Amino acid sequence: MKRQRFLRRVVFPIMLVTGVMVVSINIYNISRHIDNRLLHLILSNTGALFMFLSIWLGALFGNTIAFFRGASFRERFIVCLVPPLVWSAKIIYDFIGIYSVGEYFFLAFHHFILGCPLVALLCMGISEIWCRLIAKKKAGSDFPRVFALNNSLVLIIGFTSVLLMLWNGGHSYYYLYMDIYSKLFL
Amino acid sequence: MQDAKEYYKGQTAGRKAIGCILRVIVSFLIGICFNPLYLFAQQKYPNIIFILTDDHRWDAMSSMGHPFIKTPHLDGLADEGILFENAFVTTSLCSPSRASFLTGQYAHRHGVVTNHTPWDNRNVTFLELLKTAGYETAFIGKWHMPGETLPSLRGVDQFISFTKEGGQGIYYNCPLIIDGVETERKGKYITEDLTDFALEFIEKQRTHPFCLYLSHKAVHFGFRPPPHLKGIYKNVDLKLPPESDTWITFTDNHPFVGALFPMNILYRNYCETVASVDEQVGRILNKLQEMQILDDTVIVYAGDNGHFWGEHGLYDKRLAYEESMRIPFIVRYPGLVKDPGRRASQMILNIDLAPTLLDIAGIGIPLDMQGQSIKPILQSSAAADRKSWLYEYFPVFPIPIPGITGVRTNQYKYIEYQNDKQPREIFDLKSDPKEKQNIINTEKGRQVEKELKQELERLKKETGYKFLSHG
Repeated sequence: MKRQRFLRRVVFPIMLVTGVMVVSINIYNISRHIDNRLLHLILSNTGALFMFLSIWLGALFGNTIAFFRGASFRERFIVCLVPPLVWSAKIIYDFIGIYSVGEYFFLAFHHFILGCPLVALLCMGISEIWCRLIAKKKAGSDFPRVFALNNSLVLIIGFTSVLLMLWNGGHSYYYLYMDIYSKLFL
Repeated sequence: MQDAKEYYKGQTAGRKAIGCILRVIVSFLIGICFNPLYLFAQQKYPNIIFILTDDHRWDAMSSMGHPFIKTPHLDGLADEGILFENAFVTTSLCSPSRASFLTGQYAHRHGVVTNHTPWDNRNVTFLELLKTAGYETAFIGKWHMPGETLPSLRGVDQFISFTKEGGQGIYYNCPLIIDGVETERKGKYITEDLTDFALEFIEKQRTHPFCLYLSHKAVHFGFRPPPHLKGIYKNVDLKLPPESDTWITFTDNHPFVGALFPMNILYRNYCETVASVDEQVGRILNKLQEMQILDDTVIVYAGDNGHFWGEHGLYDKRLAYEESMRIPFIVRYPGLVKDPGRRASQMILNIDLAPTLLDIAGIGIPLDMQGQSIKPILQSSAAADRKSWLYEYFPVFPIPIPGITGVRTNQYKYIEYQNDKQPREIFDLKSDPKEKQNIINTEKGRQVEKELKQELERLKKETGYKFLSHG
């Protein structure tokens, strides 16, 4: 693969996923104020779909684009993590002025804050598999290895942590989280 | 021969024992003589049944004009009693509201300000006061206030509850703690199971009146109807508000509430679960009828808070809008209500329940109860209405909703947010009952703002309001 300019291989995929996220959030929010029922439904459903794709599955797309534009593994890692971190920052911003500083730090371990970058790791791990398979097929050689140490680690960490968070429908993690919260802050 | 010292000691012990027995007998006789139930033996003390549901909003009943939910038993209760069209909670959240029902106090007074702050056992409940007056009492159902175990609730003869899922319980197979003993309830549907225990309590042979506090898990999230009601609203048009959509629970900050299902699925299940509550209310009414004590029993049905189903683009409750703070509230008691079927328009609150029940039972209302008895409203449609009341909400981690205080009058509502996290709001409830236009920056808003702010401050002062982050 030809290594493209930094702007194209790193900044573009980040901007694409983050941009879709910002636009879809706004479309969704605006849809609520539209009286025409059909238009309201079209916009709310479209907005919601793209919000989901960009916030939770953005790394599938971002990583694939970055991979085929020649980004290094470290760069792809950044591409995958920036959009979920932007989203997490937006969420944390909504908490400012409500809770104590200690609670803000603890908030970072909540499902929806910590979960977003971890899902991004899982998506990156999955995306790496197909990207490497395609690249390998194109190159017609053993390089790159489909399961190298770095991408396998990302996949394992992402998969394990997401599985643990979603275990028992997410209840186990939530009640553990809240138990720790009670012990620390109440 | 017995030693004199030992003999003397024995005599003293004997005298002590006799003295002790005499004291018990005298206390018992005094207790009987001065117990209001005996002191005024000619007065008939009503039985009391308070049924509390969870998240049942005021209009989710056919008698309140819901487009498809059928609640024949609740409707019957309203037809034979009084339906309060303007009933509210002072805090729209499960635990604070429940504690307010029990104590007649605002959350900042009883201390259960969020779902995380524990119950203070120094709080006095209406059950305790009724027990002291000679009632047999039972608390059956959802307690839902934090703590590893349930408290030893004073004044309760029978205490059946659950601690599963942080006290929220589950609809099927929910283990119950029956007078301190955890018991598996395999194959049981919780609303029906709790009603079975309630019926068992009602049926007991007794010489004293009883007070039953029956508090359902339904219709809280999880929304699972029993099998025979599953799907009864499968094909109906849900008629959700125009600003609602399928994805609200997944968007904005709603995921923090933890109901990650499409709105239409949740709402359909909710409505079917309401039908199940109605069915179980019917079983209780039938039992009372069968025992011929229906008219000797004060029956109160209420919800612990409302619920958003997409109004204002919101899901859940907590905020100071009508959908969240408004509750169903029905009272049936022919002994007082002479014009059954009346719809009362006076504003009443959850903190009014405790003083009302004590008032009806002829028991003095403690001065630290902040609610007021609605007995006059039960007796007469012309009874005075309160001028205004205070709404309060305290932040509950990890939900990004700031603390809220507000004042509601018959015409206006004024809302303030912690650290001005959201703009202050004024709504004209007469011209804008759905609270779509914040008029704070209009000419009309400016005219009433000062007065409403003053009223809020007055109410805060009067009730001893203080902002509590964790109680």
